[in-house]
Amino acid sequence: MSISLVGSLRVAVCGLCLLASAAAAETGHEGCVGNADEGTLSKVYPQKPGYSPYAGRNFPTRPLFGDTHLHTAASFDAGIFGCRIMPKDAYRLARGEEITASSGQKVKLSRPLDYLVIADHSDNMGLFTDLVAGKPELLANPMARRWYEMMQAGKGGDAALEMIMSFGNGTFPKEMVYLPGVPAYRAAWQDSVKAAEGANEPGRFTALIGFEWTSNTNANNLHRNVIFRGNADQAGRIEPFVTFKPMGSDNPADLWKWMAAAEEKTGCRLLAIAHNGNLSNGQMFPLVEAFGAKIDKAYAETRIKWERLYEMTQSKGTGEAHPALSPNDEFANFELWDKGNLDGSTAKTPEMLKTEYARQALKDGLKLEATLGVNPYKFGMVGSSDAHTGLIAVEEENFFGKTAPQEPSPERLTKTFVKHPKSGVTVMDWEVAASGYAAVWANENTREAIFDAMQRRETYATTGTRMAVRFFGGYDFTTADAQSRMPAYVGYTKGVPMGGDLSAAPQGKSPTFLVAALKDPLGANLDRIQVIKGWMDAKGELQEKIYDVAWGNADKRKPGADGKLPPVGSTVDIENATWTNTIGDPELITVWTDPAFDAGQRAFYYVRVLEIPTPRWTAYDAKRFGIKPLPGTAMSQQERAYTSPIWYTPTK
Amino acid sequence: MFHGSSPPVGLYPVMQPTGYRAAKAMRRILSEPLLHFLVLGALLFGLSSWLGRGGAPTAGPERQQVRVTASDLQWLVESWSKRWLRQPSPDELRGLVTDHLREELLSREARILGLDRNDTYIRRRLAQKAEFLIQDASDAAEPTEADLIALHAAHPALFSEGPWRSFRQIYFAAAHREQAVAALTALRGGADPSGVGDRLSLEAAYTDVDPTEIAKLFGDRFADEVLALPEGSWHGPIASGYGLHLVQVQSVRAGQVRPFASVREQVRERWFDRQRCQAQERYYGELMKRYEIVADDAVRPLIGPLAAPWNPGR
Repeated sequence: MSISLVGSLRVAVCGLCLLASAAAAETGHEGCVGNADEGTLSKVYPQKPGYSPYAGRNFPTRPLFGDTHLHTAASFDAGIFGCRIMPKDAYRLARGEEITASSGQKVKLSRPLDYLVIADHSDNMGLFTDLVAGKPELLANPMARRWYEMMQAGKGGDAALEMIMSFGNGTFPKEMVYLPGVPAYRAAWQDSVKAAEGANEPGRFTALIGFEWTSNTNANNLHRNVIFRGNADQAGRIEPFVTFKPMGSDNPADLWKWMAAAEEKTGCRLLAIAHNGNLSNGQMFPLVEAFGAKIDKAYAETRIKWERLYEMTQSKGTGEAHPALSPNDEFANFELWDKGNLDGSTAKTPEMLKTEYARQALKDGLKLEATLGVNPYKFGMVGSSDAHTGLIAVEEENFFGKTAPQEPSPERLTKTFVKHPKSGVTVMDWEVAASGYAAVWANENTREAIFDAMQRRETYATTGTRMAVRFFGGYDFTTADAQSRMPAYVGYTKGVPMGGDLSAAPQGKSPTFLVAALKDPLGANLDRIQVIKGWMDAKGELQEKIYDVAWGNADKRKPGADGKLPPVGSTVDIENATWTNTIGDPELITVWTDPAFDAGQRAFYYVRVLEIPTPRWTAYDAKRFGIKPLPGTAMSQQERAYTSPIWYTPTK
Repeated sequence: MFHGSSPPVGLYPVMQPTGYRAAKAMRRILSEPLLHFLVLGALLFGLSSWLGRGGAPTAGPERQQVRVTASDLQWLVESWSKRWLRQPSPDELRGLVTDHLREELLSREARILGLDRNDTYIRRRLAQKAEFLIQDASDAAEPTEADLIALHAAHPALFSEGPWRSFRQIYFAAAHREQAVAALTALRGGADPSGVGDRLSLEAAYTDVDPTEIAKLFGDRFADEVLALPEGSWHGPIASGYGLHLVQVQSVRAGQVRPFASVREQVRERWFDRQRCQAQERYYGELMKRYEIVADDAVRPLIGPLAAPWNPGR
């Protein structure tokens, strides 16, 4: 939890102004600044709330949903494959407007999102990435000179008209195309930050500035999305770091160096979010060496400084867990893309799986912390789309594909996406996932609040659903807290939220966790909440265990003799692509205590929530287009959310 | 390798930001073994004819000039340092120049070999470039204040906000409809709302929320119903994605058009959008004066207006 320590006086003043602006806090508009931390709050307010239910409340009451990874036509690859949507229209769709997709179809979201990061590829972003030093001889061209002078004289409109006519009748001077200072030349990055500025409306919708650094050597995916905390003025002072040498580098260590320099130059903070470890062929979470350098304390410190989050679910698969790594996890086999690297040129070997998946990396991080002193893989979780359509349209019944050719059409159920002639690795269009969102517990809908929530890891990933998930860890939660009508108040008061750290355990106490999940109001009921614990045991071995802590239809469902909870069942009618909320529960809440806690062992806990089964986008396609899917096509799934972990670290 | 198929995106982002000399996709093609084979073949041909003439280079293929100027160097340095946020070292500079030359030579050979023809991606990239030029040209025009005010006045729906409601709500599970109805009677009779109903992690009261916020929290049908309620007494049960709710609207605030000053930026954006659409139409109009489209019988009936489908986002 972001800790800005406040004196009790400030807290009291906050309390007063919160009474006055309780409404403002609820709607996410400007309230007091800063969060009171657990220690301070407990001194000023008794554990039971005072008379006013709103006093002392300075925490988010609703998660903000958005995408941290969208591409528009400004990404050279998206543009080449037919995407025509530029950032402006991408923001419009995210804000709830209806727009026309590249394929000519109308598209609109079920409801607006709260924020969006357009992260176009920095390599060849937009069109003109040239930074041409001025060539004075160009103004010697008479037409160029005429238009230039018209624009200087405020007759830009007339100049524009003439220019367009001259494009049209083939008389446009070639040299003029690349003249800086004349509108025919454009700095793509400036465009991108300007578009974000135009779409950013604090309190209503946030457009965070960003780009994707696309490290892709040997097609091993090491991509990172870089996000800025600041505005166009600041971000405009630099050019995004690219990967192709010599202008850039494919080594994440160089990106981190660049980010440090960029923070100084721009005066605003940056963070980076990696994704698709599942396509890195083992390179994403190295344990021994990376790019010829040892994984040492310095590496760990740098990495965790810049990469506080990991994007673990998106259109190219979900990377939480793998059946080979977690054979006891009946839900590990979910939207897996485990056949090879990004273009399928190198097939996957079992050895590679060990350093690709989030849960394993979280565990490995514990071990590295013990040996290096710092945990490089202490990341929170987000989801996103990585759509190259300019459309953040990942609802199953409203899925517009990953690329422009994958926008709804009868073909996309049966077409091939990747087929590498040498390795034989094949990925079908139907395997593309309609995933996901990055849910953020930010105090208000602004760049700063969202960025800060990401920095403190108070985030969770979803596979495209908008369920609200709370997760708090502390030593004093009781079962009565699960009955509270204000569980968040209790959570923040008595514990730390997702992404936080548990202090060393008081003598004889085990960590307790308050977990709550509220379904997506337009979505499916909930099947269950699980707490996934990873720890390093006395022998230094890494362990994991999954606990079902709350589940729907609890009156009818109990764990069997094997300790496993029976499945929730399914109401999915695949043929008609429907389901009913007659199973599962709309909300689940519980307090859970770790039954096997050892105060001397490092551990993390994170929550995974599953919905009841619902039709997958493939079922909607089959129904709407009357197409028979290929054998083996997944037609339904249980959508899910994954929270950032809470870590427990024993005192030395 | 990918001729005719649709390769996945994000696979080959490995292109130099040296923009205008060659289409970016060429880089991938340039690493194709086939190209290397052809280029080597061409070079060998040149070499063998050079050797065949007994060593004298005079009768061989004419040497073309490749200029590398001081301003090229300046541009390389500027591009590089804007990315790395520092000046290049002498070694790095040497690498930049060599790289630049290699690319220039390869791209020339590629064009001589006609590698830019019959390539969908190059074609599409060039089309996109031209389209950006049109957009840039149309963006050159700045709107007057009068233009913007007029646009704002003509399209109030685009620049509105609200309406808003403040309300209290009490949740009942769907199976508890009877209890909900009974509670409604009690509440209307003045009973205390605290403690009534089933537990749910939603707020008991909301202040000044608009339909979008309500829909995000409860679903859009609930939002519609609450918007239709009068102020004052409790109503319901109203269904949401969660179950049933009793709702008491405490204040109603009508929607309004946001004053021009507060939405000036958004109005400007819309104005530029319209300009671009109009610029596109004008451009295609001009093009049609220069190009005659000759279509086969089967194709002719399918040809629609050129400007029409390509206004995505409008």
